[in-house]
Amino acid sequence: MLAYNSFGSGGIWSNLLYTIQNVYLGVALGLVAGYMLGLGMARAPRFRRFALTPVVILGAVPVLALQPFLSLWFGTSRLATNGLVIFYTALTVAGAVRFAAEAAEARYGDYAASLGMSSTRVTWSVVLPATVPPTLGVLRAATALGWGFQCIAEVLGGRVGAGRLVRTFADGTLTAGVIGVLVCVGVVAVITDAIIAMIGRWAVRWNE
Amino acid sequence: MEANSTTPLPGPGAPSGAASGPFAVDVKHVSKEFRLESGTVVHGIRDVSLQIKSGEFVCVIGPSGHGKSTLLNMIAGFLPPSAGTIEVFGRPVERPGPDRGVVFQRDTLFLWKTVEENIAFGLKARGVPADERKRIVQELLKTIGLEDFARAWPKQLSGGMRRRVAIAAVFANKPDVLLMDEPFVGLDYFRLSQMHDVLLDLWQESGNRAVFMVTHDVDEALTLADRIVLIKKGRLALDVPVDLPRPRSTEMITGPHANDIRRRVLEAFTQND
Repeated sequence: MLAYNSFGSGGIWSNLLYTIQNVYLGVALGLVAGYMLGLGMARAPRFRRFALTPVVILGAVPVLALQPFLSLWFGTSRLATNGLVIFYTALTVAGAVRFAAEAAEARYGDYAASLGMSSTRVTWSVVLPATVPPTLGVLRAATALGWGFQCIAEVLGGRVGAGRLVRTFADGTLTAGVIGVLVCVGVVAVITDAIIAMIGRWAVRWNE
Repeated sequence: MEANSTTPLPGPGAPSGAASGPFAVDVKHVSKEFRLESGTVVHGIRDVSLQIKSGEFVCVIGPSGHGKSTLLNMIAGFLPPSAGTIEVFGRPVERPGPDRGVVFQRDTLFLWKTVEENIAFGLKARGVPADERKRIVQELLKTIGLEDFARAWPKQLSGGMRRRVAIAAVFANKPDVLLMDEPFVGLDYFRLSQMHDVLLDLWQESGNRAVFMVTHDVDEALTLADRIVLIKKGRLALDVPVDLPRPRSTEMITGPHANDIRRRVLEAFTQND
């Protein structure tokens, strides 16, 4: 227990690092999956017919209700804990990208067609850039919630991570330890959000 | 349906190169029906025939919802006609294409591209070499008076500047026919006058490019057009030449001859039939 009170090996730092890695990995995977899903639904009518119903149904599922299933299916692997982050990020990004891509098509589609652009070129040169601002907004929100989902998943079933550490401190009624871990997670979350916001401001500097 | 005063020849303002041969735009007995959710069929356009010669500037006016934009969208290839045919320089219109440049009422500039990138966009899409693109863009920026804003983002421009860029972006593509759907709506008189000058400069420099422009403004039509066409209840209600010399001063478009044209248009506009 005392080892957790330092930033040494096996303490807060290594557990926090594990949580950070899982949140970043989960958000990255969710972003890629969600972007492709959203773009596919907006640009490919056949894919939309196939994917829309499952996405709508999954969107109605409370995210935390998935955790027992993830633990059951993936045991002690990383997916058992960062599956929630991937799932939530993918669904929110898919929705935002789909609506942004459809709005871009409505606004620019006729104009692009009158310039002689092919559908593929419209996707690359018009739809993709137009989806960047909303995707960044959703990404920030998904990452912010991702810290919570990751920690909850670790509290419920993780063997490592900040959430697991919180549970250990709580079991030992070490309130200061619980607060210390949560403050550390909060600081990392704020720094991460600031970095995403900074990159976002540069990426969409044309939108200011 | 033919207009009650069809005059297919362009006015004296049209460039002298107005060619014989196929019309720039040839609309033959075109109708467009829309089926609503309720099953009701609405007639957007009813048996309209209209020819526009090369180099001719035609303004289309008419009440809102009476088919002006529907006709433009069919010429652009955005909508298929329910009946009849549309040809541009003898080629049937089946889909949108770079031979018909469209300036929309809504803002269509790509916000993530600078002014010069927006103007060069169509050229790049068609594979025009970089040197040639740069030359064309520089010329157009000079014509529209925005050389100092080449690297500005669209959001950094005023509404009038953005319209100028939008028009330049379409002209850069050198379309055979320019289609404009109320491109200057909402601009004050000063900006409107500037935009007319820019448009006329680009049109006159372009040689024999035909223009089909939808507007609500009879004064604008008198300032710009070789012909004014009135679309009412989906039909061609009037087709009148504007045989005023160019450039047209305020005095000229408020003179007796212009007023006679204005009166004819407004009478046809308000006539109950």
